[in-house]
Amino acid sequence: MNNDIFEQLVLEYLKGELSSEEVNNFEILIANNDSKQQHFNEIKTIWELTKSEQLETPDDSLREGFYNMLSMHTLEEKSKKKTIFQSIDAFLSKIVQYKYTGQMAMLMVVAIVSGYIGFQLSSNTLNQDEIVLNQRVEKLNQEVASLQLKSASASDRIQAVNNLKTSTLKEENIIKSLISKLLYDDNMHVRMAAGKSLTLFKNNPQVKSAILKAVRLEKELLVKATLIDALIEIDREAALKEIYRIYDSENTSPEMKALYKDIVETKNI
Amino acid sequence: MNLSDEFMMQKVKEGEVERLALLFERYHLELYNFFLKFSRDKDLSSDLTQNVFYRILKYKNSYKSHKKFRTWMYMIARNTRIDAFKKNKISYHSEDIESIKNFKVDDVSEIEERESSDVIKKALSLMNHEKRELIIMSFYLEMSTSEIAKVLEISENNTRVRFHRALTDLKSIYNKISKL
Repeated sequence: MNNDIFEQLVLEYLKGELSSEEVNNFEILIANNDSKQQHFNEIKTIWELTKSEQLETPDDSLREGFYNMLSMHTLEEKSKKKTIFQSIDAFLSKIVQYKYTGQMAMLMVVAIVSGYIGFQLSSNTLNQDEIVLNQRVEKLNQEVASLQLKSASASDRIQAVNNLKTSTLKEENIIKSLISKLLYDDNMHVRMAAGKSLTLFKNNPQVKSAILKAVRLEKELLVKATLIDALIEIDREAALKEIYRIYDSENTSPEMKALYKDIVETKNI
Repeated sequence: MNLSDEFMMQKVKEGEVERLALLFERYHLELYNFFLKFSRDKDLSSDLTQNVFYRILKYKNSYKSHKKFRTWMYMIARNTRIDAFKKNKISYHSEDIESIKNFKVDDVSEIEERESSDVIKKALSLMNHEKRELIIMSFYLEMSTSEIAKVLEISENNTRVRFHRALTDLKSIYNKISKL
């Protein structure tokens, strides 16, 4: 097998694109060939290193620039439509000049068409266009966010939660989606990402009560610790009360107690 | 509800341009990082990302609905990058070996303190941009050989051969930097 074909096979293996039979064959191939095994290890190392890199987030100017461009483009499309109306008007006026019979009837047609054009021009003001565009974009964004948040893949859902932070959606919709992920998602990393993101909206009373509720419901130590951190950031006093409440509870495990003790000492609260 | 990229782009083509917002939300982060891996310049990467969406609108009528949107978008992205680099006379490390030889001692000590992922980033930045492009598409964007071949407008065989050369270069630069 040529190296270039082997390399494609390695990538397909690493991406999980091979069938179980192909995976078995591939693993037998590399297990019985030292040079292929070494080649595989090298590619795997590079693959893992590239996967460990985090995507960098652009600043807000990119999103602002894009939406401005989109608004401008939509307005340009509208103005093109106006030009077509004006052309029809001019065309009809020309016809009228050359009509000897039925001139009055043609003038009436022109009057009706012109009236229609006038109505179109006055009702489709630029501000209305912008409002409609913004509403449609908001609706589309909601559809996208909702679709991503329901994805079967946990990493997609984490990405969706992180995207919400910089989303152009209304704040109440973002908070609602994040709270839902924090309280009900099956994956601990998604819940953790949602908890972290919610601290951006710490002045919203819904956020504090949702995090408090999540701290009580959460079973995973790591997520619990993250949520306590978030709570400390939002309301230090409430966080402290909660820590003592859980610490004193008979149901709290020794590991949990150790965790809370550690938090109190680290955060100096 | 059909929310596929191809359906959305078809709607954009038919005049519902606001649907491009959805494609922007799906791809701007990936595109931004694609450009960032070439230029390591955040402002330039933002500008190029926006430029891709501007071109999508401008050339929307040339989109064919049977084509995969992502592949078509990266064809535009690639042209955008090449045009920008030509226009600004940007040349990124076209002589790999020279770049490694001229690698400063300060950089080495800096790298020693960092994780291996930084070394791979550095190695990637020292590759010529045609080879770098192949690595980015395969490893970071996880494109298949067939997709890459379509973006580059070359045959799949040619893509495999070029990828092999790119990978050999990357391994060689990576090993040299790691040993420094």
